[in-house]
Amino acid sequence: MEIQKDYKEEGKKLIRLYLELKENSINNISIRGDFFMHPEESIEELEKRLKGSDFNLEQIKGIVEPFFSNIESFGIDADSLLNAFRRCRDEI
Amino acid sequence: MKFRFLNTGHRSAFENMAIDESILVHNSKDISPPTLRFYGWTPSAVSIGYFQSMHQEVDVDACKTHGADVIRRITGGGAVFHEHELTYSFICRENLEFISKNILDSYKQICGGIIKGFELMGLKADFVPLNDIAINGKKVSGNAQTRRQGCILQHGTILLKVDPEKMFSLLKVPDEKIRDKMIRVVKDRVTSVSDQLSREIEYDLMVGKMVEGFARSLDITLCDAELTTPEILLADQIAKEKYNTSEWNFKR
Repeated sequence: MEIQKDYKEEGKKLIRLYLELKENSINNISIRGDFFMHPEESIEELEKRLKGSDFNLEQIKGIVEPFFSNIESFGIDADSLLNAFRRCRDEI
Repeated sequence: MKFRFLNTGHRSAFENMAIDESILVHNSKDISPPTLRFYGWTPSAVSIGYFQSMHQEVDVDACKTHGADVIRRITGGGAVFHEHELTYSFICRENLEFISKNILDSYKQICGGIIKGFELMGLKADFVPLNDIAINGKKVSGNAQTRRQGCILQHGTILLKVDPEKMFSLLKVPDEKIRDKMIRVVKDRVTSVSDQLSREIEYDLMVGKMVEGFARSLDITLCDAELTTPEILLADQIAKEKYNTSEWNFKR
């Protein structure tokens, strides 16, 4: 199952989340948008960590929060990304 | 503080992004000096931010029809249609004393050069966090920064003329029904130097003002120079192996 959701919070940039789910786990993921992340390549590391995770907000939070505490980002943070995931879950 | 000043004229998207990266690599090894570069885009092009999806943001077929290049930047931020604009890049070591270690502060500092350049043309511009510059409340410049290999690379656009209809014929809109609305929004919120001065502004005139603006605002001395042979060779290689490939441009 594929889910594509755009999510934007006031004062933040647009997050365009693409998810491919297989039996409630994340089979593929792309976190896109016009935000900034330093270093840029860390996004691929985050996507790699999320791949294979259950599509469960607590589990996702356990991956996303430590990731953001170790990088610098503008226009996106752990909360807004988790809210984007929440929107995707509401689609199901 | 001495900076090198380069005006590399109008080049393809692939050359332009590769030159910025080549300068960064050479500066990171202290082979090349800190640099302020100005350039334009021929043919016109659409660039997307590092984190964007090409197919999601850009009508690639329409770009082919119009002869516009498409390219992914190494910097974040949004999709930009590059046609009548002056683009700059500011490249230096992160540890230079006068540049803020804080990324957001350094955006403002570097954008100060452009704001001063506008002032020299009689235009009052303001920095709009995170990364924009506006005149009379309308965006006239967008900027994006990366930090890698111990260096800062900030590049940005200064709109000389704006054509929202053409822009949205090349960019994808979330919903076709709102295409006209989006064009109206851009007309309301985006401006250009020509719009503000009610006359056409040439690229070369603009470069002169901006060079002066950067020199005064950042208190740097700009020394006219050219790209070095090693920079050109590496840029050719980066253009061919990275920016002119589908692997890079369509990777997300």
